[in-house]
Amino acid sequence: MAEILSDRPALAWVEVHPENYLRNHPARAALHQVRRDVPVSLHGVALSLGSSEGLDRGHLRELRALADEIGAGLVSEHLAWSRVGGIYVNDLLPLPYTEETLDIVCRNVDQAQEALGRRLLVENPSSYLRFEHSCIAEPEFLAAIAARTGCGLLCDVNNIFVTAENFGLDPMAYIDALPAASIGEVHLSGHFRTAREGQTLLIDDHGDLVCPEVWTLFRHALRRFGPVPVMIEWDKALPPLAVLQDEAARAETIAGEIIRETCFDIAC
Amino acid sequence: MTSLAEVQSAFGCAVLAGDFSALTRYVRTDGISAAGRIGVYRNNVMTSLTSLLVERFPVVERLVGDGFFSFAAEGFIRTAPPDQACLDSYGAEFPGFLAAFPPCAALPYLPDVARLEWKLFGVARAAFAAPLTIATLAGLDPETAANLRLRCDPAVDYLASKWPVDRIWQAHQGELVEVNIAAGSCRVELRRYDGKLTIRTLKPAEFAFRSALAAGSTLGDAVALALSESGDFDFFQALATLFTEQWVIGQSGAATSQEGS
Repeated sequence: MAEILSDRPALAWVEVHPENYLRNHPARAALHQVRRDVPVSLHGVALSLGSSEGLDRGHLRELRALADEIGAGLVSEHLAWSRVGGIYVNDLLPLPYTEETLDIVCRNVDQAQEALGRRLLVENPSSYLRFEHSCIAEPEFLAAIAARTGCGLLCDVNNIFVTAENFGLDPMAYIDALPAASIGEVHLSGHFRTAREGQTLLIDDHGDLVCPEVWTLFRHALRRFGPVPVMIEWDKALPPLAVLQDEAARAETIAGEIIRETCFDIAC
Repeated sequence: MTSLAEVQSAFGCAVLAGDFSALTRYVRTDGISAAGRIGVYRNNVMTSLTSLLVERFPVVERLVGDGFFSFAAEGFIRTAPPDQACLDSYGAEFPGFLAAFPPCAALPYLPDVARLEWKLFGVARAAFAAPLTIATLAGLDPETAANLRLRCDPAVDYLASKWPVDRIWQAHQGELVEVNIAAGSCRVELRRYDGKLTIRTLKPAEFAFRSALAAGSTLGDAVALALSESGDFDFFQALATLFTEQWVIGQSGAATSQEGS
């Protein structure tokens, strides 16, 4: 943030986790300063859209106030949960994909969109476990949420890759199963590769460059979704801003190539 | 039929208390055991909350070492997990936890070092407020003045300890400071001013006066407390200094009630 304020690089927009700006006054003041030059989007991690006990109204009010104050562009959250029995677990925990969960998530998304006065984008998570009683595939589950609530979807291509690798799924088929018209944003980031009990496990840590397989999936995703805003996420071991700008430039180049290719298709 | 509420309750026990028993039967193994998979989430939760506590209590961590700090943090997270989505107030109870944590008994000053760090964290993130000038108090009669309450800059806090925690803290800021634990108590004012954090030692009377006012006492009561510490406490000088230091942001009790914004 300091680098953005001092060097004023040409950025298309900035996306932040709103939780870090709700009560930290100097951080909020800095965000207002950034907002003078570039649009700001909010990417929440603690709304807990999958909680069976419903959403935290106080938290929603704080989010609304921040979103209004900075005139937030996009507002997004994860298909995950973090709140149980009034306790907040500081992580994006996985959901069993069942009809019951779908009802709960849709009710919570409706409540969030109403309270925030905005359309929400819901992001596919990275997963390390699946539930025995899950009976709906994740992209179909996301499509159903979008169809029922009118929310948009945030397609995190790295998360698709991580989840697909961890469960032996086909990431291209996952992308193909998402409803293209609902995609409002794409995320790209890095992950790390580890092993558990002799099996490879990918962990989404937003701490590395986008890997080659994810760039390939990204091309595939853009061919399906058309031109949508793309964000590079990096949370851990933050590199100089220039590295992030290089990644963003690469995404932009690919997006440009896809648009030309699509126009050519139409012309033919 | 398994309900989502059951799964979430079992997941809560697994990640916060390390008890995987209720969750395991819901999890598909897929080549890695249920415990191995749940462990990824448990590890994410514990490491992210522990590093949040390290960021807020860096001197405590250096005093006890990272291994012991993680052990204490795990106990704290288990007994007092976050109860809000916004984690800004998470850690407020950590000093009290350390005070009651038997393995820390050999370091009796540790809870107060933690209190100092928690207050510094609060001061660093406090709201901004415009100061009042002393002209606000012009023409006050003595009786009104005695009943006046002054509102203090939110980026100011006070700590009194029977240990030299200010010196202990300074010794971990890259300054060469000799700490004599037997040297005894300290009374300090913590402040963010012009973007910088400062810790300043105050004399007992001044500390009594300022901390009482900051806690909402009337001017009369604050002066009485200061005089009980030191008979030669100079009230006019102390009051004037509050204004020159831009400490006062509001007041109630004077006829022309005026508030800083």
